[in-house]
Amino acid sequence: MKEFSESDLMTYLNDRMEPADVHEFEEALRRDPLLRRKLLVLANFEAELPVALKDEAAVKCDSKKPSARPVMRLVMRIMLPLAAAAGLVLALRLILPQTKPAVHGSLAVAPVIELPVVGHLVELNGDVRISEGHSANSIVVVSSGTVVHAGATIALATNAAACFAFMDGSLLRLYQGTVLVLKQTATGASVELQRGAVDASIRPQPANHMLVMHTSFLYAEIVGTEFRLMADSKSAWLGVRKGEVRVTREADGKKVSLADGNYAAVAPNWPFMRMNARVCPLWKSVCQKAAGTPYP
Amino acid sequence: MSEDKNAESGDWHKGKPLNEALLKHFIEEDSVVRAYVRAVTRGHRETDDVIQDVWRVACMKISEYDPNRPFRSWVMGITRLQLLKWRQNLARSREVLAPDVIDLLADTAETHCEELDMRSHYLRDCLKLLPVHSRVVMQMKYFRDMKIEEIAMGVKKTTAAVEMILVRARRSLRACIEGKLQAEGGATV
Repeated sequence: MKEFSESDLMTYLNDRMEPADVHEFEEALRRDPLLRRKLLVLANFEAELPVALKDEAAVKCDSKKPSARPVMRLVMRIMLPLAAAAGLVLALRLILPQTKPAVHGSLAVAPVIELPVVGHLVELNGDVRISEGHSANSIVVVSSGTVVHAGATIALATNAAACFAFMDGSLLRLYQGTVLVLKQTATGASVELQRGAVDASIRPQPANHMLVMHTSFLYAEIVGTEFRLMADSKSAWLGVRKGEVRVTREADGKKVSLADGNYAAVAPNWPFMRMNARVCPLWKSVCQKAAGTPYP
Repeated sequence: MSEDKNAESGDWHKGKPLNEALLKHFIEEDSVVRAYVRAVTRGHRETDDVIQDVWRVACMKISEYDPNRPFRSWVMGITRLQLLKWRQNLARSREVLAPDVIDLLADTAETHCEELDMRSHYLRDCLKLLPVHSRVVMQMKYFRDMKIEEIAMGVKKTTAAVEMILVRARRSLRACIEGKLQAEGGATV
């Protein structure tokens, strides 16, 4: 009977074992509890390494308050299944005849349900408040690690900055004066930027579930990318650092696809089209004004 | 299948709420469940898919969970069923472990759950001890899913050098975990 070394176990775990060897390996697993334990130990290492590195990366966002880490782990590990379960409930609600989908401009938005949590704040500087209801009493000044529920509004003072982590590790960096609302719909998470600037680093989204970010003037469907979105009372700007974003103008439904280094804006006297951020200097000055930093 | 339908129509949100204690249970069992699923499915992506299904089903069935029973056994039971379902979908297209071996691995995972938990805990400690450049390269590879060539360009090294950094970093992490386990008097591989 063949002895299986650690290197054989790695070959198996990397799915490179020949089919004939898999049968022999299976037989060995059947009779050897020590081999089963060795396999599980290696599988544990292989499975935990990306998770641990993800935790590390997310915690880096919270360099000032490392105590937020346990909360981070809690959110990262639990939110995905919660979102999936909630998505299922939402899907059931959607097919009920009495349910009417809400419409936001030209974008049909599925009914919104309050989820337990959509993510949490991992870095805070200055005055940051969360409103989770309609009464003034529900506005709370938050600290790093604060869990954010679906439907919450996050508002930053003009001297504040914050970093918000979604359940899957996607990050939003919020700049001074930003106000946004976090929602959860049947088709995925939704972020409504009312004003301010947001840098987004979005992990690849599951099939049929995409993150939608919208302002009064445009909305963007995100499958997994890095970009900055800025909005004020008259305009909205979106520039992509990495990946692709499909942007739609609310007023007429016109769509523009943006890739690395592109941006588009809905603003007075400005054409809604794909622009190159390096060539057109206006992007730089808008970034400087809204976020205080260039992008990318 | 019918069991799942019952769970899905069982309105998990109407049952027992997912309170903090239950969330903690989920976290505590995550590394054991993850190791078990990875050992059976092999691929990272498939592991994530099955784990998502496990937690989705667990969330939906939470009202059926009896707090007087060990949470681990309950979740491992769900995991076992999800893996069998996964196996059923894939059995014709690739070599997958037989159901009895999947069950045996579940038993072994439960038997060694404390060791697996400790290893996960030590992995996080050991990551902090890695040199910064190794950690950066590992982040790029395992967190950002970058290709070796992209990493090499990013850190201005050859692909061979990047591969060597990864090999050494993994080796050093493994050695660190074994060292910590030995210091605690636990079992090592």
